[in-house]
Amino acid sequence: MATTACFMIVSKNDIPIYEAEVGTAIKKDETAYQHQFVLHAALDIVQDQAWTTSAMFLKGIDRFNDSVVWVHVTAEIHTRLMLLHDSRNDDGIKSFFQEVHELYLKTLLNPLYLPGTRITSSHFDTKVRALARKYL
Amino acid sequence: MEIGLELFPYHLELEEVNQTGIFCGKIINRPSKPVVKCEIPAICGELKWVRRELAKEVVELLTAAADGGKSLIDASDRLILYVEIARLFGTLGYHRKAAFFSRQVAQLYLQQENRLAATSAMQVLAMTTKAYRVQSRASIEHASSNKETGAANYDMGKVHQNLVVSLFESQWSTLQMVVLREILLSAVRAGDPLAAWSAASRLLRSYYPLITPAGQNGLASALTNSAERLPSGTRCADPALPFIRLHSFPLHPSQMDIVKRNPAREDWWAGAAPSGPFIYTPFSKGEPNQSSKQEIIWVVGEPVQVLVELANPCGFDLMVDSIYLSVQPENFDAFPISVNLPPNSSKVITLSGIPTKVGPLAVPGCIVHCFGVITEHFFKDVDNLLLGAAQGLVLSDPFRSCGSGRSKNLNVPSISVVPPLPLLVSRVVGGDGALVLYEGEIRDVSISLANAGTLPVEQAHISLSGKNQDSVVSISYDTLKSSLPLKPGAEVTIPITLKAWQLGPADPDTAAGKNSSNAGKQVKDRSSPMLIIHYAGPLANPGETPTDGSALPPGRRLVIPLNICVLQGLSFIKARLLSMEIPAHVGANRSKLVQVKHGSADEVMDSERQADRFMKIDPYRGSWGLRFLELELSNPTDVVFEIGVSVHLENSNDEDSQSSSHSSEFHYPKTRIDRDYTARVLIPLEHFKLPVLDGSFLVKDSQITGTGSRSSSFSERNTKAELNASIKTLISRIKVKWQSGRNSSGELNIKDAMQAALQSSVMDVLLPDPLTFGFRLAKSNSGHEIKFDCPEESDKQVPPVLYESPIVAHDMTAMEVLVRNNTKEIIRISLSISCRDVAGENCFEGEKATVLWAGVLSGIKMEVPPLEEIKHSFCLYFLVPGEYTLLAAAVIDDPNEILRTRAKSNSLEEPIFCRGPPFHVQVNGTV
Repeated sequence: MATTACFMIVSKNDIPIYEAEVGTAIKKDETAYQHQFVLHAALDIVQDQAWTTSAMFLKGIDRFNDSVVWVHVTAEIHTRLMLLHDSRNDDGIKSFFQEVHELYLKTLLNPLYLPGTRITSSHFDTKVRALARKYL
Repeated sequence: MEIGLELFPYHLELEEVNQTGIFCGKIINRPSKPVVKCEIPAICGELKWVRRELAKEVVELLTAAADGGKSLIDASDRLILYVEIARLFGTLGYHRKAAFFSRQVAQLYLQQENRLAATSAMQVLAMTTKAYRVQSRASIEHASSNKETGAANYDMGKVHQNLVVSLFESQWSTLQMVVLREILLSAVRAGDPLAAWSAASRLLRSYYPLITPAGQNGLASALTNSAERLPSGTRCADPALPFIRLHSFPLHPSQMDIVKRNPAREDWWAGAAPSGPFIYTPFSKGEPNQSSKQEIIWVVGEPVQVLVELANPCGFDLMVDSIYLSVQPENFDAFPISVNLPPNSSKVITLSGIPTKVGPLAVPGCIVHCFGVITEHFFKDVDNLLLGAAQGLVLSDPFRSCGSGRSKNLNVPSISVVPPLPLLVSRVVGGDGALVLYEGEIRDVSISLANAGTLPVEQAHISLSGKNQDSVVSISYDTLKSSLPLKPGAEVTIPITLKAWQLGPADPDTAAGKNSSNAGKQVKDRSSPMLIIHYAGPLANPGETPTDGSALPPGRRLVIPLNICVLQGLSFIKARLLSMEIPAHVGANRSKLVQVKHGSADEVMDSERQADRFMKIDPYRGSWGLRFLELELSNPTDVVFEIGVSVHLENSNDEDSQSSSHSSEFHYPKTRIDRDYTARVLIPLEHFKLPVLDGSFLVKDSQITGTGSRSSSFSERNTKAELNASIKTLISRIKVKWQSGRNSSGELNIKDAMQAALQSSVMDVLLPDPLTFGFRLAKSNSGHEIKFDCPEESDKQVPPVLYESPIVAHDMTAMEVLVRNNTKEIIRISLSISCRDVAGENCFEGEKATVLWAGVLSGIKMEVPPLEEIKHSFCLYFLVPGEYTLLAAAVIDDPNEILRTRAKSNSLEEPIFCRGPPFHVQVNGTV
């Protein structure tokens, strides 16, 4: 089944520092930014709900049409890993978030990386896309 | 409560109202006529019930409602549903959610192909701009002016801080561009050109790096098309292109410097500005605030300039129809200019204007008329943008992408406008170009000063600054002083005499030598001196009564750089002392000794000085121990130089008819030095001999032998100083002037070299020998004598070409030896005379003596009175014709200290010899 998914890391200032279309479906321009609009809108809800629960994994926090927003709120400087996906494979998404979080932590350890700025590492991008293929 | 609006193809079945004020319900799907039955809190006016604490529940309800909307077939139904959802999210404070659904609404409107729907879409989208942070500046201004009404905020940048921050805080550029594009689209469809222009300008200005050149062109044409439908002179709050940043405030051109007046001092400008070559001196009064906050003073009615840099990072030609400074408050006449910016280019332009009123001013930005609409560009916005670019937060730095350098951290100075001041404008009479002078050249220049201001100049003072201040020989201060007060429009011309300095070895062009193509380079170097004129107007402004000193109107400073380009001229190689010895002929050497007969020392001095004028290198007169200063000069230039040596004669006596007819300067014939040639110029130093061997120079020297070391060192120093002084006076009397072409002339500055050359033997130059010897034919000898008595009268200038000796062989020749005492004391001597033939054999003695004599020739004891001469007669009988040399020598009995020192003898026992110069005697054969 062709899936579309949009993955995004949002820094604490609500600035996207990484974004990737990771779906298997052929994406159209229209949908590409539609995903971003959904994720952008979902930030309002994440902002509220992140403080009502101790869980890092906020499952199905928002949805629009068939797409569901999954969020992993990290402990470090309130970075949010957000995934817009049209499947409901909880475990896969959870594992994906965990692995991407680890990758993100490694990126943070890079002394040349300034937290809060855009992640431009192609290595990171490749790894994230590989993880998306594996789990989503 | 039943919501039964006709528009609604669904109705809600509301079952209960719980205590929280939320209506509970459920969605009932019906295949034929879908009825949405949902939990919608207080749709019709009960919004006050929506509380933050229940946000989660509300969100769930609204999300469910939105999901339900998916199944609505009629777009209008969905539109209304989304409107309500957006409203509710907005009420909840979820602005991004609200914006999301608003955009959905706008999209639904846009699906309807009519103008009213497009207008609605545009208005709905305009509401989302805040959440997406793409607001028009107009909406922000509106909001802020509501908040702080009437607050005169000159610093407009501050108001837009959040806009600028939003620009680089939010990286949702994709969303922002989509929203702006949709606004543009809807505005075009709705036929609102101003909204379209505004959206297109925001899109272009903020996201040009993400837009392809074709897209940029499309936006540019959208801007132009929109502007066509707007009335001319339309203003828009959102600036488009170009990017404008403040480049610099050119400090007052040196002609217009403003200097604070210090009323307490005569030199009122002192301390107001650094006058030395150093910008910072540790002694200057430290004012820490001064450095951080620059202050600029503008003068009412005088044009000012501000440099701004424009950048067009887009791929199309940008035509800025007009740009001028926007100044607050608006007491300023700005001069608009138009600029054309090629693709990807930046330009620094000068914007000017005239302040019209006294008071503080701020220049927050520029007014730009571009793409048919007038916009205001604030420098602060671009500064923030560049700051963001420096931190990597913004997409691109428009200036750097245009190849412009990194911005300087420019402190925006505070500007204050002061009442009118006088304004002097300078001009070098005869062209403002650099004066090309050869080293040492002296040239007169006139500088004309005109008062271009509206007030008279009442005080003015000229001073010099910069390097080579010595090169300004004279300034006519009086001319300036006498012309004060200088009325507006009046002009005064000040003559200045310049003397070109010497090019030091450090000067780069010295090595290049005569290469005149380098001449242009030197114009720019900073070695020229500057004239600084401090001037000020009346103590009080017109119409005001003179107030206390604190409110004095400032003065001004005019800096006139004297552009002097010094070319290498004659170069001096070395100076040395030469001595030349030419034996005199008996009979011809009248001038010196004959006149001594007149007696007194004064007269001797005069006559000697007079004789100096006739002195030439005359081989017949002879010159023994004649010293020359030889100057070796080379001419590396490509023009011809002529050297003229002149000697200033000290005691030109007016009583003397001959000397009064001549000037006190004696000029030697000129020496011409061709290009690339070296020449030597000889300066005879005989003029400088003192007439009397006085003890004053030597006594001290001799006394020191007896006294203690301390006093000796003192007197030694004293003597040395005196010696140096005498050298200096000697040198100062010799002037080596040069001339090249018609206009260039100057003086060689070779004092040091001359001093070095003279230092060792100044004694020999200055002091005469204690005894002077001379031979002559006795008067009784023949009639020829008269002729030789006065050779100067017969021909002063041209020495006799042919000289005939009156002495013949086999004849008794009566001769005299003259001994002159040049000291002030009696000298006892024992004189002896010798004669040698050409082979150097003694002719008086020996087996083959060829000269017979009568009288005493050796061991003649005589006493020579001070400053007088005595003669001793004898006769010679030459047996063989030919050339003989007569020599007189004397041993001084009981020499005093002066003589001993002069002879440089150390021991007391050593006899002091005194030898006269050789005299030639030409003996002719019998006819």
